[in-house]
Amino acid sequence: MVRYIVQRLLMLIPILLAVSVVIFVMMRILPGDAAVAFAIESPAELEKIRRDLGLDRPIYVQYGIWFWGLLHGDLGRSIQLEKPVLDILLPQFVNTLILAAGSFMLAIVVGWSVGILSATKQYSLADRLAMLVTLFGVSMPAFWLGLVLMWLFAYELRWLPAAGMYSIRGDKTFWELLNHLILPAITTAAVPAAVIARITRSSMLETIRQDYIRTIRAKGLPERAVVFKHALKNAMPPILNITGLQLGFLLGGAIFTEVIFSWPGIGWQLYSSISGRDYPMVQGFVLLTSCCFVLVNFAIDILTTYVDPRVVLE
Amino acid sequence: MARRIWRMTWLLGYLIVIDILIFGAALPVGAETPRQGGTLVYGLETEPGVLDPHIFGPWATARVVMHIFDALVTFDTTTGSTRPPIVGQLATSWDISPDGKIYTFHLRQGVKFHDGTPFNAEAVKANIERMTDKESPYYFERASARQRVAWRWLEKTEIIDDHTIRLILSQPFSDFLAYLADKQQPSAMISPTAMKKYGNKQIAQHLVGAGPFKVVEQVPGEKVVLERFDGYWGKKPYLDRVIIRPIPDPASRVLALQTNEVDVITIPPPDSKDQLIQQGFNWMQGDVHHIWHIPLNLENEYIKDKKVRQALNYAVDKKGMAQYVLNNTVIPAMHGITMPTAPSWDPELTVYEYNPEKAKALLAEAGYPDGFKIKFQVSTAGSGQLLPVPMMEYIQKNLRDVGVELEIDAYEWLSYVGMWIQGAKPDVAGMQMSTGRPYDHWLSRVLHSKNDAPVGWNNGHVKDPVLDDLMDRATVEPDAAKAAALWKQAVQRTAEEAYSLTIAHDLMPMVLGPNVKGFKFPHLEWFSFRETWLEKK
Repeated sequence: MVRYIVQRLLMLIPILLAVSVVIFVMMRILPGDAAVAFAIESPAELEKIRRDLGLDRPIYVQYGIWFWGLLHGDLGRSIQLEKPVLDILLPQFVNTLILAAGSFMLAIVVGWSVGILSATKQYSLADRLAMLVTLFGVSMPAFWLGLVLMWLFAYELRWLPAAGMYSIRGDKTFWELLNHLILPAITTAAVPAAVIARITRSSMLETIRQDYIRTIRAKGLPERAVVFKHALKNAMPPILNITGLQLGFLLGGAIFTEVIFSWPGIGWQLYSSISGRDYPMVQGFVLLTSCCFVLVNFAIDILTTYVDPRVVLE
Repeated sequence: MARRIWRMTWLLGYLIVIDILIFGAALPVGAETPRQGGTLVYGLETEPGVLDPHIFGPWATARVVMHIFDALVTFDTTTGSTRPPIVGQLATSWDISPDGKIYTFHLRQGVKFHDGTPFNAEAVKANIERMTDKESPYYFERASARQRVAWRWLEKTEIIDDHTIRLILSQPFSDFLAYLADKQQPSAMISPTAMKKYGNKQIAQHLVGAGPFKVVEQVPGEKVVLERFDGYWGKKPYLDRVIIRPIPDPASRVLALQTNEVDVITIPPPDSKDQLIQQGFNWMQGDVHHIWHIPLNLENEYIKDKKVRQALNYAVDKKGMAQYVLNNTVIPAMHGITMPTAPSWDPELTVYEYNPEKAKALLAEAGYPDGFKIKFQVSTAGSGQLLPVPMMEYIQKNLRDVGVELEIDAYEWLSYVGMWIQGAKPDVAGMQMSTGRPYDHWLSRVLHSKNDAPVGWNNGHVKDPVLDDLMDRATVEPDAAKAAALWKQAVQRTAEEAYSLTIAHDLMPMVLGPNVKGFKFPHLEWFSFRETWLEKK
């Protein structure tokens, strides 16, 4: 097991390197570079600005400089904000993690409970209603749902704040944060929760129909024990896999949520960095999120071995 | 003696009565007394980005920077005038030599930067060197590139004494002061102590100016917190704090205003206008230096024909666009390629009123009775671009009515700007842009053959010796009235030749909460809250 973990961790290095090269090249293929944003006032000076930003050098030299910095723990400086990338990304990453964690928990709690309930009460009114709601959940774009929630709860009912992570005039308390987290978390969690619910339902249904469940039911075991002790455990591997994958989608969905709710996370920063061709910021962002994505999937793989003894890690 | 005292008392009483009459009449009944204190939260439409006054770009950033940095000269946005006058800020006055080449600035005394460094001629020299002198320890290449146009004819800077500095130009430049006041940027003063201490790359994190507010916190993507600078040389602001909060989504910005999370927003969506006014918010809009136009590409096979260019101008219903697409948050651009706040603006000159029949006739005269197919390029969004794609679709419908098939080629903003500054390619009939300045030399940057893209902003490759001559004369004309007359002629010439398809002038809508007082519409795309105060809710 330890060998497997070390191997997987070592695999992380080539994956991240490949991702960083691809993004580095892709960002530079895009028409219009960071110098253009500065040169719009004086186009004749475009080359001067490129030189100042180091964009006049061959792409492999630029990558080499960035990589050398990375080896020294330096992700470079943001072109748009004139600050070290890490100083901007780390606090924003924490903010995104708060949003992602809140949304993820919500997606798991809602997704699993609705899925299990639907499977155990198949074709009941509750099941049909739940599946209808999840169908809506899967189809609703985050930017639409976010605005509707904001309009209803922030504007019409005045129960929750419309934007930001803390009240701009108030103190940074935990309750303030929780209050501000509810709407963005629901918006981000909507699609993953719906997907998880549907997969949980189908996986549970498949398990419940199996012979051994019929046998233990015939033996007179209480329904709760049948569902939670015997059926759920066997239905878990695909549910876990999909849940892990949803974390990746959730990080992607957070970009829209952060823009709508002005949540000061990396999603919103990525949006403005790509628009401004702030290459070091985009590189830093991709490195960070790729790490997260790979590590979460890795964690899910390990978790799967505990849930399903048939899976052997090699 | 008693009689003298009696007489003096009478005189005094008389003076008091006169005073009351004069000043009493001057004060409006029930005038509100500005309230000291409070925090104003401003929902900005974008992340303000880097706040170094010599390198920032967007107008939105200028609305943050102006609080922190004072400049030698500025446009006074507090008068309410549609043509904000240029006034001294850190310069109390200036003399211009008769040949228009030497500007002597008399600097304000007793001014201190936020770090306590005294403001003087040395500080001005250091700041100018940062943008112009490669040999200077303060030199910053990006600042030099950014401010090249303003300082292009600066030959020499001479310190006369501690509070007098002389700038010598190689040629007269009638809009030199306007350039220095533009976004309050080229003549913005940074503390030389801070420049030395932090260097060009670190200064953006340690912004030390001589403005009425100082920076206390900058959190990218979240907020910029400004606090009143008690050592400010001028009238102290009423507000204790101004917090700038980026809210890029327009609908979220409106909701944040409606839920009292912000006090002021800019660029609200046009369709929110009626609702916000009904709810008691103060919707402000007015003339600013802005034009949304399509420079027509003279290297395109159809566009090089003057009759075709004129036909396109007649074919577009600009009034309809202002009303139906933009809910009257713009005015139709019917007075040539200039702006309501520029001296060349002439309301008497009305050109190309909507006339599809005339457009068809002109196309037939040009040899295209059955029309043709052309391509316009446009950005999907971007600074000051309004609603570029719906606007272009409206134009597409108008052109179809006169037999011209329009292909719309839309690009993301920065990709588009990258293409735009290279100039229009021959297969493209025009590339939309929205731009403008409150002074007329802007026209030369857009239309002079010397500024043909990719060197300058002459994106449509206009090469007109008559126009060049008018603009060259206007550029060096020291008499403001004569210069304005020449610029007016240049605008007229451009309209006759139909070098551009002028569409709309933005009115820069902004919305203030009912408790925000003392703010006058600036008639510029940039402003500050130095005169603003908050009424108790």
